Amino acid sequence: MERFAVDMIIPAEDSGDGARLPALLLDRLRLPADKAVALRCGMQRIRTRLRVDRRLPPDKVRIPASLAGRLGLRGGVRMGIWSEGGATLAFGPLIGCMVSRQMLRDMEAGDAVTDFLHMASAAREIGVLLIFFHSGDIHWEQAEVRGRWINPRRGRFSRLEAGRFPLPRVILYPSGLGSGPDPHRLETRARTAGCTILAHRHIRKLEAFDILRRVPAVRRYLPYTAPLTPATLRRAMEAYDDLYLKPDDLSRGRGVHRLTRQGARGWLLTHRGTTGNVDRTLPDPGAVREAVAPLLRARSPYLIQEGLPLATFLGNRFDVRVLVQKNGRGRWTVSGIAARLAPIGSAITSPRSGGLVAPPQQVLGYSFPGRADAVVREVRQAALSIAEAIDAALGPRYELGIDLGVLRDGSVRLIEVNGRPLTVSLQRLRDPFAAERIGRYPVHYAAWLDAGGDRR
Amino acid sequence: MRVKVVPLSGSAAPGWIQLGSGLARIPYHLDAHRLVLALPRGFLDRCGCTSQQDLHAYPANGRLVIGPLLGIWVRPSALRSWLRGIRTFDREARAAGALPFFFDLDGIDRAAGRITGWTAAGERIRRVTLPLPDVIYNRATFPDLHERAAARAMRRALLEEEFIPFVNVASGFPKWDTYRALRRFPATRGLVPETIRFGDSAALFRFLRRHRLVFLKADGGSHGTEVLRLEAALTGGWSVEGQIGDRRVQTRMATTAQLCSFLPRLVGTKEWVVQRGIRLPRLQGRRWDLRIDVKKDGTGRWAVPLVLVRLGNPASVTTNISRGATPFTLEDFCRRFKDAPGVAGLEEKATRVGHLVAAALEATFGGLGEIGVDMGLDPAGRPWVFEANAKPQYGPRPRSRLVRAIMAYAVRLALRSWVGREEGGTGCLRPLPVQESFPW
Repeated sequence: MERFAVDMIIPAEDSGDGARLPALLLDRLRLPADKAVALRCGMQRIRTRLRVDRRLPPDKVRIPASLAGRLGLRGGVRMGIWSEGGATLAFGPLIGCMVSRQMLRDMEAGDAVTDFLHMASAAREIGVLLIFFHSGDIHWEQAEVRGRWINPRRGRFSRLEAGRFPLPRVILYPSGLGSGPDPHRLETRARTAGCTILAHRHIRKLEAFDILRRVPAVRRYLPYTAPLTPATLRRAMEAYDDLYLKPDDLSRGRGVHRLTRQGARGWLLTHRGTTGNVDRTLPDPGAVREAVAPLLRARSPYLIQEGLPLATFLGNRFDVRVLVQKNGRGRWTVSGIAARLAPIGSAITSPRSGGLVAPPQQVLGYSFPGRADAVVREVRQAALSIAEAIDAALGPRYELGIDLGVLRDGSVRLIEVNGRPLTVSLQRLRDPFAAERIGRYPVHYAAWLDAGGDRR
Repeated sequence: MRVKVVPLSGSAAPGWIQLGSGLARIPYHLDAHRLVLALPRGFLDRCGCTSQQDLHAYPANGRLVIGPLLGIWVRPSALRSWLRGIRTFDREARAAGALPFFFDLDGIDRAAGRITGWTAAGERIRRVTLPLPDVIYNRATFPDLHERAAARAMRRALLEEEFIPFVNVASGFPKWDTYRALRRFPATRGLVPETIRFGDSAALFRFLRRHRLVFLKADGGSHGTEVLRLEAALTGGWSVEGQIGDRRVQTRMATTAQLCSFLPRLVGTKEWVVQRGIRLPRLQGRRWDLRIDVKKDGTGRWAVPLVLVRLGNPASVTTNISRGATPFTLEDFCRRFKDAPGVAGLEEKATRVGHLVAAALEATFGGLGEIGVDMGLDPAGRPWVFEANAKPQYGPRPRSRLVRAIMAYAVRLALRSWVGREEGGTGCLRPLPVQESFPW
């Protein structure tokens, strides 16, 4: 399919006789003149006639104001147009991005998240009309939204215009970036309206491991992980010397306990208290069971996971966070990799807890001299297979954060799948290669879906 | 693909050519078989491209991307006073298959997407206006704080909003940040002498109780122009010696308390750090230490292509070459003084320390291409790192082989970001070209 870039001309006086296109364009689109066709933008479809206008340059289209208003088209804007099935002329695509009320207010005040600026310029590049709104702006019955449209000029807001737009066919909902309605409920509502919501959604650790265990291609990346019960505790203590007990639905190192075998002296149980690390030496499995008992009763279920012999960089432990996104052809792609280095003596790599973000080539190059490229390939392969498996079970998703550990032998293990990835780590990395992609792929993927890619 | 650029003779069909962030519709002819790209003479002239030079060409969707356009960020003063160095940069960048130009902060016009700078023209330089480059090699330092802040904001915008990769994201390594960066890692924390920030007089007093030899240095200073050496005398009291700007300081303080009240008056409002001093080995009464040049090779791996030994000027408290020290290459030095204490195993030590420090600083400061590490030995032969320099001089003058690797690395970064932009998307480059269609 070919999409053409055209400038919209919306005349003030309304001749009321359909859309006017230059002959060359009509010919390339293979659409009939003077016959009824549908004009589509987002969910809006209007039947009208296409007229040949010999005075128009080949890259301009005249749409009467009455039609343009209902289709959400704006004059003077460069957009894509293409033909669908020989009887529909589609515009844009029109893509929605749902954000929180607060974020919208910030944007209107000229204080936008960089990700959104990047998305807006990515949209402009490919003739996509990207509109921002919050959940209250959607009028499902009328299939309409009150949106704000960004006209980015070299990375800054020059104008933020509000207006009515048709309901987009595809709505991105990066719910990791602020509060908003439950994506699940929204997805159900949207499905009845025929539109696709691409949302972030929290994935519990055990949920992810349960799904992945059933997929042969990713099994080798999974460390021993099980719900914490007296039975799994006993088995894990027989099989491993280093164990982690983690709350299933919390992250950032809160509530994490580590259990390490101390030879003949029994086991050491460590956790981070309010004033620093708390250590307890427990002489036998019975004492361990007793010490761990409160975790078994905790409101949030716990899981037990083998400790991984992570590789180190200059003596500090590290893991890698891989941002995987669907690209403009609907395929999972690695958009960026950040190595996250723990502070001295710590196992926590999050930048919010004193971790440091560094380029993976440098970190792996230092830790695996001569083998870094092979390790990077393994990291990419693991992240992509895991993303595909999660997407197949919990999709459709448009981006996932995959945290992987690299072991001293260079093999890769899954630590966690993050359904609401923040791009903080990657932004701190300041890698133009990654930055180019992060804001771009979601827009390209959404556009691909609107234009007829597999929407599931 | 790497192509040879020649002037276009005769006519050719016009097509879209992208150079840096700019896009132009011009006639060109690409012979992909013989790897020759013919471009109009006027275009070559306008962008400072020499005939027969190599460039990279990347057939993207609907356009031919050529370049990479390599912006070398310098101070205008460097441009005026350092013509030989500029010529080396220019020659080596072209040899690496890039189109180089030089610019400074004032020439950047982000809103218009262009930079006015200079290009080498034979033995001289001339003004040239070009689009935003594909990669920037940052060689500029800013002693002035306002300029430094403006340059930092501009680097950030070019990197994070225009997505231009940098060789040397950091323009300098302030001494305190360097200390903290090296203390972060078990492998490097033992390399740095204890350092505190100057300002808290109680902390200073305790520091001076612990150490008999101490250096007070301006946090952002360079060339040893703001360094005081404080040494506890055997008879009690302290001798103070060094340089603050143009002012030479040489005095004695009877007590530590007296010293603690004297120093703040001397240093003014700048940020300073206090570092434990290492007693450097001496030769013929002169102290010596090392400047280790650590540079990326063309593939992005760190290498140590040059180690200089600096035999200090007895009249200066530092071993900076700009303060009268005599430089030797490590080979020369080891040959001449092979029996001197500390010389055995020196190269191995310097190489190891260079790699460690480069890895730690790059992890902390972001992408770098080169650093200079100041290392000295204590009487036991243990290596210590005093500070690192983000814009090391290329020895007495730039050496082609050292510059060549950096330029190859810059080209590599640029090509990687071309691929990053193109792969997997719908095939459209920024900025939006005025083209006929977006093939999906």
